[in-house]
Amino acid sequence: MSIARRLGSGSGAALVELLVVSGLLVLMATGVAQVIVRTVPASFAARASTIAAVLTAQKIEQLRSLAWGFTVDGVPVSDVTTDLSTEAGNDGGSGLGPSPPGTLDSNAPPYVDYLDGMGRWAGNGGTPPAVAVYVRRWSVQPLAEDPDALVLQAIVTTARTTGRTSGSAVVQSRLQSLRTRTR
Amino acid sequence: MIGISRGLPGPRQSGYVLVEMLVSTAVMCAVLAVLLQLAVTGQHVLRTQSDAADLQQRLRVAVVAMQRDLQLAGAGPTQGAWRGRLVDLFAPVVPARTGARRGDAELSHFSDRISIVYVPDVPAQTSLTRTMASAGAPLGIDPVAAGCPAGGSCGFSPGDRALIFDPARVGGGHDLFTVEGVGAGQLLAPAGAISKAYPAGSPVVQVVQRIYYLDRAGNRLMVYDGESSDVPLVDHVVDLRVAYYADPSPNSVPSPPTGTSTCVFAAGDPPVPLLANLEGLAPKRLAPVHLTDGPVCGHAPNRFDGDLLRVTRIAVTIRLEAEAAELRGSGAAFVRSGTSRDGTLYVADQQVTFEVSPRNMRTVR
Repeated sequence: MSIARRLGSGSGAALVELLVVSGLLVLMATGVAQVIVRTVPASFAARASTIAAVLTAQKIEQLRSLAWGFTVDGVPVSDVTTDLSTEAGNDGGSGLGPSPPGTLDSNAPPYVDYLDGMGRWAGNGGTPPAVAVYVRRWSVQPLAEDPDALVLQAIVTTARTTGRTSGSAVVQSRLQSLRTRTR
Repeated sequence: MIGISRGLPGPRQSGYVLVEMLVSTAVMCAVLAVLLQLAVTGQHVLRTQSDAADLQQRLRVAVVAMQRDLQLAGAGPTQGAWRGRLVDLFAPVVPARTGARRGDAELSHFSDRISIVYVPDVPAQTSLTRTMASAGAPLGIDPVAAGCPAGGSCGFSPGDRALIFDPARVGGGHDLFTVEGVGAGQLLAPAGAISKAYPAGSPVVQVVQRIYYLDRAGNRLMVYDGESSDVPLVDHVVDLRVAYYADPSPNSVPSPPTGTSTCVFAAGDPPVPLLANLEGLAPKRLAPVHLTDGPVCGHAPNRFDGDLLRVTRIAVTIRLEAEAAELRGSGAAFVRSGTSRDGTLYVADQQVTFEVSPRNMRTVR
């Protein structure tokens, strides 16, 4: 018997109607839930992008602050010893020395460091520590036409699951800069 | 089946009303419970995500504003007789509040404030045509110096922030002042006394002065222009820390000619550096004591520590909190505790550290 006919006969049909109404409500609720489910990750993604952009710029600025110029006598000065993968930027690294190929694609010390969810330095080396949320890699390449001009690149990625080395990383931010020797 | 309707007047209905009512009530209750839970969750999400978005936006505003000014720190005149970087003569970045109002004592250090000076790309760049009669005398400027616009005052107008400095040597003296008036005879009247009578040829340029500091009582990041504008830039800032990294070599600051001295070199052949050798090539973080122990440069009341002349990188850590106390809980995620006791209704503090290598503060060797 159709709902209309049952209504017409005045014989009830509350249960069927209710089930239909409930179904509609559940359908609507599912839509609302999907909005909520998508909003939260989007907000976290925006936060991650903001922090990643700051971290990428931070590494470029660290690279730019290394000595790459001339003495007052005109002798070139090149910092090729600072290890920017350490928190304090100790000696013992490669500074603005040319990086080997592929440092942006894999965790190749000393061209990589790891940062926690607040963007604080969390470690270096080939394997990220458990607290690492962001992976930051960089490269230094002299221009073929002018070895005194350096192309600095930095990227920040995040693993899909915090602290894991496997899984496809998502590039959150990428920056390039040019550094030249100036007298 | 006996229905509730049996005793009621009207046509008899064949409905199983009680059972239906019980079942429908149960179904409705279940659906409503789910809907209410969704509504509560949705309300929490709406409340927290809008505040989280606001927090991120405020963070971006603070970072972008400070980054821009720090990148420009030390930029000097681009026209006129003296062109170059301000850092070759005085410290364009100081770890204290400078300016006409409530300025910190010279040579002081505060980790939660920084003063920045740079010359913008404006035509108001000229020099003194004659030596000042006294420190309080009006400044006679060259109105037709290269790049000056026509009109007799080289683009200066009352209210402009201006800089005058002695270009003879590092630490020779500098003053920031507000132009009170532009008089006949190409005279600039400073709003207050300046530290010394500058010689003819001293550059006089329009300048940008920015002082960022943390108002701890009001939890606000403030920006001050050195004169009258002292306004909040971002609210709900709970921490601000500025660190300075310097070239470790004492020879990274330009040395004077043989036989002469400056505040960072003693006379000698070659001149003897007075700055400490911090060893190595990597920029070294300067402790507060490095920024207050001398050598002292400049003229009172604008003296500064000579180590500031070799700063190559500045790191700023800033931490913001959610605006509403009901979205702040307690624990390590919050500098200031709030009233939230709900695990789903909170927005944690956000902190970032950004670094800037000012483009006009690179050192030499």
